[in-house]
Amino acid sequence: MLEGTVLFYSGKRYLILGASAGAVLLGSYAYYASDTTPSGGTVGGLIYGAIGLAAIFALMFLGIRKRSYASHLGTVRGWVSAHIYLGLLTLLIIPMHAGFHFGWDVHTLAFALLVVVVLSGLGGLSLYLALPPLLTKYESGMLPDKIQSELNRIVGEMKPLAAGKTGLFQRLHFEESRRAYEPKPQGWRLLFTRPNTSSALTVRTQELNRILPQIPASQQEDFSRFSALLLQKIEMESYLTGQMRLKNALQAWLYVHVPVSIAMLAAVAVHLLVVLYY
Amino acid sequence: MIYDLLVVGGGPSGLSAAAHAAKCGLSTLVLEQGEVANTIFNFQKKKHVMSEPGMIPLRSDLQFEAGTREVILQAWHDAVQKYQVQINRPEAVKQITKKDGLFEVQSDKGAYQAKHVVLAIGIQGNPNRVGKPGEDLPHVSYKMADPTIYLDKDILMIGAGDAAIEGVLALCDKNRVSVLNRNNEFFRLKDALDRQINEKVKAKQVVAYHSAAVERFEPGYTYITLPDRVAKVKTDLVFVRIGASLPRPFLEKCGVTFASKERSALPTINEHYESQVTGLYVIGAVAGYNLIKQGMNQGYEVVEHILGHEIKPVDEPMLTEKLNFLQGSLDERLVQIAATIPLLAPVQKQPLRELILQATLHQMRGAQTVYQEDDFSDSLFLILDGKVAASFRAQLPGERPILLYQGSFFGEMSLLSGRRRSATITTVGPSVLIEIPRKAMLRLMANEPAVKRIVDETFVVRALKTNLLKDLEDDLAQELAHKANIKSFKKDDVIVKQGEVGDAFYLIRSGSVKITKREGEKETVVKYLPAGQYFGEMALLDTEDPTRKATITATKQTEVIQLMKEDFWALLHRHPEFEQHLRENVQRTRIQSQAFELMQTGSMSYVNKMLQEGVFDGTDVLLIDENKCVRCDNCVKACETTHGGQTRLYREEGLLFGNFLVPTSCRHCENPLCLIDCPPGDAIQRDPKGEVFITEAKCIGCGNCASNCPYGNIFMLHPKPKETRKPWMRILSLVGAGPPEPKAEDLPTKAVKCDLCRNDSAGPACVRSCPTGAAMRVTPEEYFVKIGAVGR
Ligand SMILES: Cc1cc2nc3c(=O)[nH]c(=O)nc-3n(C[C@H](O)[C@H](O)[C@H](O)COP(=O)(O)OP(=O)(O)OC[C@H]3O[C@@H](n4cnc5c(N)ncnc54)[C@H](O)[C@@H]3O)c2cc1C
Ligand code: HEM
Ligand code: SF4
Ligand code: SF4
Repeated sequence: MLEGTVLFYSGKRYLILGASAGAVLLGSYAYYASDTTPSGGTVGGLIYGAIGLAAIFALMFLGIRKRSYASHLGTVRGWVSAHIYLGLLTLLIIPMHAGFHFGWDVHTLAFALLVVVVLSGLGGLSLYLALPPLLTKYESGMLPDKIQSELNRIVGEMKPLAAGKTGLFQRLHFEESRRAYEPKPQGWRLLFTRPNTSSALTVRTQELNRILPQIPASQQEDFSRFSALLLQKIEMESYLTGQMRLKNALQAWLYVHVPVSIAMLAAVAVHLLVVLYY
Repeated sequence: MIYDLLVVGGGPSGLSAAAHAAKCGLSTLVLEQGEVANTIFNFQKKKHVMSEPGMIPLRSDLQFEAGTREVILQAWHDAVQKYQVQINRPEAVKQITKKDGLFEVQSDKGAYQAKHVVLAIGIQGNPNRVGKPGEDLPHVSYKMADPTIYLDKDILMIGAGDAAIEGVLALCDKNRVSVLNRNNEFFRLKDALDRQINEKVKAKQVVAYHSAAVERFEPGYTYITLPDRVAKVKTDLVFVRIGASLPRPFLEKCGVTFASKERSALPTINEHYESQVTGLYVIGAVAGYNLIKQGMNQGYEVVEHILGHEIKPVDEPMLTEKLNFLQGSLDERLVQIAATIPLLAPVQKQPLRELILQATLHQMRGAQTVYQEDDFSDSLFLILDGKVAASFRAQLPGERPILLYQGSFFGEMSLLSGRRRSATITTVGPSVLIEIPRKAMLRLMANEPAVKRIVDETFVVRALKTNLLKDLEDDLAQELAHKANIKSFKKDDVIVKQGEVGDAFYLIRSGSVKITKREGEKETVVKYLPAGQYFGEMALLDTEDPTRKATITATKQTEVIQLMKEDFWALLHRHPEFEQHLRENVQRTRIQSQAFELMQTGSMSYVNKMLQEGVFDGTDVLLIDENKCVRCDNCVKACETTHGGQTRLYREEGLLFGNFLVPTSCRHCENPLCLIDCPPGDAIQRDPKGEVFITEAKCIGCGNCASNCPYGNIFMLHPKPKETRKPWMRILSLVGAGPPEPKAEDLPTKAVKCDLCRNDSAGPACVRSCPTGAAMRVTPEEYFVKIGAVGR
């Protein structure tokens, strides 16, 4: 099922590389721990530290590579694949560097941040694997730009129906057209606003049914056509929001992953300053 | 009075002729049915007119340099004044006859007599027709002289090119206008028009019917076929603006002859642009020369010829230089070529000049490669001297390459089918080769039936040998080629129908077909066959049940070589081993197609839709696997960044097939329709690797390629202006001083499309920038065979 995903880039190349690197690391640590008491200050500890630092830089470099569109340095897909395994390895390298000693200090803070980054990375990866197929189902038949033009069409068709009708009718139309042009919830807000297609539809249907008797008989026919359009519009809108939600989720995790990784880098810098100067 | 020269049509070609004649003292009259230089006059205001081809000098008493429409028209008006050219306008010529050495020219206003007549009527006056019932009704019209005279009418505009939309915009303020577009959106419009029409559509001032076609016209109503229904639209008036073509019936009425019945055939003229009727000249667009400068030069040369001056055509020095390795006058050199190469023997002098002008001469010293197997070039090569060897990758070790000698030609396979080269060609010792571009060759074939026949027969002989039977004897191959029919089919035409008795065998020469089987209600696509493959053998081999077991339909414009049953059997009798081979294949295909039918559950049915939408026409298609795509738009950003800030990839606009998205981005078609009609000839072209690309400097912004691309993958855009201001000037502009920011709208629009990042050795940036591997560039044929969706 994961065949052909980022995890298995170029015939599982980085999976194999990552796993063997892990094995080598574990072996070397066993050897190192057998004759020294592991800590960050020993020669071995320093070597692990240097490897860890290099790894972190390599991981951070993905952000730059991803935006160097003309770069010939591998493909972004290859980079992401390597990034994932290397990122996981840091959870091994850094504790080895520290000799698995933790405390309440800036050093452990840096590590804690690293753990957050890695966890968010894992979370993001699962989103990357799980959401696109859902989104595909959601989009099948209608891509966002089609929905948008469809919405415009509906709003356009509503206009002549409402023109010259009673106040209630007019107000309904006014509200709908205002809603059509008001900015859609975006960014973080989308994650927390829960569009509920079916309930929105039922609520509106009930509302329209309630209004219907108040509409003069001569306008009833137009009103029911208007209502049909309105419900169609609501369905489209919730469709669109549904798509947007999934799309946002695909990006939202990066707002944890990247800022925390930068914070982590800062903590690492402090950590270096502290141990090298004092 | 009897005029020395009567010019029909006051376009650039006609004016150039008239001005020169007037200057030289000939009594001259121009009859023009519209404005002076009507075609140019109708260009969009401020249009930047280009003066291609740059290498040919201008020979005219009128000025012409690249510049805006206004400047150019003004210069011509001035020249008309200066030489006192008499122009009768508006006056349309209806008939030209020759009696006793004098021409009688009949117009809608009167009759004139002249010693010589120049026909320079262009093609814009002969608009393409809809070809649907009712189009001759009085309310259906191809011309709209003045849009301001219509008021409060229901008007339908057929066509969605620039000219049509300009018309719509002019009409829509005072009328209820709808527009019929055969594509699914307005995509080939100039920016400003696009913006305006979309605003009008949004504001409900104009109704747009996309993906639509006319079904029929009736007084007061038009029936329109839409994807999901037929609509009856109220129409008081219909205007049609869907391009133009050669006014052949009018020309024939005037005595001008054509070399063949082909639609693309051109008037027969000699090297002085004189038709079969002595004294009647045909120049400019109507003679097949699509650029202003060419027409102007011809106008000048015709007058020189009438005056009896020996004038060499402008291109004479270029041609002589091109043939510098031959001896004698240019004419003698041309004769020498025609005598060496039998294919060119039937070609007249003027077409031969044209051909050589467009050809490239290759003087090869030793063993050099001409092209490689699988290259995407499609020109034809003539061997003027020396010999070449053809070798194939699939060749057995020790097998001898095939040798071709002086006088023969090669490359006709790719020329006709548009597919990759089927062999590697290397010269053997010093050789001289003439390479003729595809466009020039197709033009020649349309005009010289004899040439077409030779190329076709050679094609069949070689196709039989490469695709069916390597050991086929030459005499038998020739005989079969002579008997074979070449048949063409349009998209969706049925070639073979399930249940009918089979009587022929087919080899696909260009295009492709799909094989479908019907069982009860259900029709499933069993297979897709590209050019080079054959079909129809099953029913012929099966003597007990000779009915067709499947239906075969063209999936695009397709040509097949048809061998009738007797000829097919003649072949099998001579080659029982081939019959054996075919029978074995039939067995294998049966098993395979059964397996495929089983596999064809819902998820695979998208292949059929892809065929319909022409995805398989592409050789290099951007596919996005939506199940992997995280919608990050990094691909679009990559395209934008690597192409001067203008993306050529629109990820969210495209066609969705199952989980595969084919976004709006060039497919690099096997037969790129966009190449058909480019006035400079090579502003848009295809390189040997199959990439279709545009050279911005050569593009004149006419929009032909964009309207010819059936998939809307070429965009007409204003190029991003270069920042010419110094940094300090830019700072000044922040406070409202200093020179203004260069505006994109000031530059002429150019055609822009995906070039597969051809200048980057590492390949397309979109694919390299996709973090998940969702975006890929594939040859659909190969890719879907690989994932098991189609195949033989
Ligand atoms: C949108 C567009 C952009 C183009 N851009 C360029 C460019 O940038 N550079 C370039 O070199 N070329 C360009 N071309 C091509 C160029 O316009 C033509 O090659 C050129 O106009 C041909 O000149 P002509 O004199 O042969 O014909 P035309 O210019 O078409 O002139 C023919 C004249 O004959 C008149 N006429 C027709 N029938 C009759 C009749 N029966 N009686 C009397 N008069 C008649 C017409 O009204 C017209 O005025 C462009 C073409 C188009 C459509
Ligand atoms: C120390 C550890 C890590 C660091 C410093 C780090 C840093 C980064 C950075 C800087 C980016 C660039 C984001 C952008 O520019 O858009 C990124 C992206 C990403 N990271 Fe990490 N990361 C780490 C670990 C991980 C791990 C363990 C995983 C997965 C298991 C992971 C998965 C990803 C993924 C999937 C992306 C997104 C790629 C994309 O779509 O652009 N990361 N990371
Ligand atoms: S521009 Fe259009 S017609 Fe030309 S190769 Fe690309 S997809 Fe095909
Ligand atoms: S770069 Fe890849 S994942 Fe991102 S939008 Fe494009 S195809 Fe989808």
